[in-house]
Amino acid sequence: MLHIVNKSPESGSALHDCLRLCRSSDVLLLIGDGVYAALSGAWLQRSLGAAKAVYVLTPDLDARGVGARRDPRVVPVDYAGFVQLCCDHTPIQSWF
Amino acid sequence: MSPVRKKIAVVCRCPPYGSSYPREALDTVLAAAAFDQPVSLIFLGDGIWQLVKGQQPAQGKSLEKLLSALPLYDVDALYVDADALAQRGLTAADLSLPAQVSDSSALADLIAGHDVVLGF
Repeated sequence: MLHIVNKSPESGSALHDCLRLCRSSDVLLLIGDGVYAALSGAWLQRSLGAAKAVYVLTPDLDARGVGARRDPRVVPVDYAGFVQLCCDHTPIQSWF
Repeated sequence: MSPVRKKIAVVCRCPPYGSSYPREALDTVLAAAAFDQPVSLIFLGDGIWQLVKGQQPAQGKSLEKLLSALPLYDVDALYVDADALAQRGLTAADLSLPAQVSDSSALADLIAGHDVVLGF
């Protein structure tokens, strides 16, 4: 399945709760304020360990001026890629 | 009667009375049930507080009372996160409705088996 997180890791429990229920066959997409979890650090390590792959929505990274800080292990996607992820995985769970 | 049936998982992480999420989750569950869609209600984290017995809001409707209507709609697939209960010093005996207490891995597989997941 696809997990979508739109809050930053330290602003609440969205990413924490998501990772608890994320299976190794699931994928994670970071959007909105969630993109801060795509930067190198402990939260990213946990995310990479929990999910099969971690994706990040690049327009949201760029809006925040942190595109260059994206960890190389996170897969960048644009809006078309976002749609494709939603088509490729079921069900989809959004975490806020 | 709609011929389409989608398995819907409603995931609750918010405690009662501090926001409108719990009421909206319940409205969604009842609407799904009214349209004959199979629905599971899953309580994670602070969401389990919605099920605690003895709620007495000074104004407005008690969520506990509203939730008690679920069996009347044949909604009995309720699940509660075991860790969330333990961390809050609660047990199944503190809950106002029967719910299956499950660990995170079982809940993950359960949710993945649904067609639609709605978070509140």
